Amino acid sequence: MSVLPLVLRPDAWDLPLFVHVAGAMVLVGTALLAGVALAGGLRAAGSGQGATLTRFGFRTLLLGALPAFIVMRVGAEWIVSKEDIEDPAWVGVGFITSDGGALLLIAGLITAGIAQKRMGRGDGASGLTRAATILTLVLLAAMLVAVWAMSTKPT
Amino acid sequence: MPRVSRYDWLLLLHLLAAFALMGAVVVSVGVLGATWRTPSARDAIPLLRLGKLGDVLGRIGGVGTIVFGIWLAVDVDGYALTDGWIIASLALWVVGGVTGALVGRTYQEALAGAAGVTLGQTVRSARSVAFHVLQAAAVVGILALMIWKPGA
Repeated sequence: MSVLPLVLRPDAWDLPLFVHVAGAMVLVGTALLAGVALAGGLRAAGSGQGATLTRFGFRTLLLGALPAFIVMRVGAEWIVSKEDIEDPAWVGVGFITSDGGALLLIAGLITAGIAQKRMGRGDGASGLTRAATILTLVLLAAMLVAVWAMSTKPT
Repeated sequence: MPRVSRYDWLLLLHLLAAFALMGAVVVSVGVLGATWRTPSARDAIPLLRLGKLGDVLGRIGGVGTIVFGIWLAVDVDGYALTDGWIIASLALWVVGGVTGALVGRTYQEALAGAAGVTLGQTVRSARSVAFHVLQAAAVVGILALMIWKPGA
């Protein structure tokens, strides 16, 4: 039984929305992949496998999550400018999690970058890898809160 | 307590499943890229094991998108399962699911025979690359259809 009305958005919003959602999806995927790789690197710290996984986690953040974050954020600004909305709570949640997410991403990149460099030299870097893992997983959690706010649009 | 409608909850669950599906693509592409220059299957073992994450995400995303997607299509006045863009999405969902499963099998073959096979015969084969490309194209295509909804 059909009970909910269909609401269509103007065609001009489609491309910015696609850019925003695609960026957000890749960001969440890369953050999850990097978090799992860094956690694996932490578990295998001191071995060649630990160094391989930590390096992969760092590169996933640098080459995947960072560009995806920029695409997601550009798409967000674009769609907000198109929609001309009056700053409802869910948009605020989106921008807060996005701004906080940027800081977490930068901190995660720095700690993972130093950790993979030290591991490559054979030095221990489990504290840094642990920090990078936690920062990446907190980033992932923040992005999931943003997904909740963007899709349910709580009032 | 924020007020959230049933449509919004269904959309959230459908979207989370879609994020998982795209996550599976990200994992596949990431593992393929990372193993591209790895000298042997043995060296690639820790990276290939990450492919299991893609398997899990693909299963969750596949089931979630189809269940909540059909629920939304039935529940929302104005959508029908016979709409062209929904039929096209279902076709791409099948393509994405099959190619995703084949990508996962490629990683398992490389892991199972790490000592005896080269990455060129498994993960880096033309067949495997084609599976990766088709999986990614199908999921991106579904996303495009969900946003543009041609004909709706």
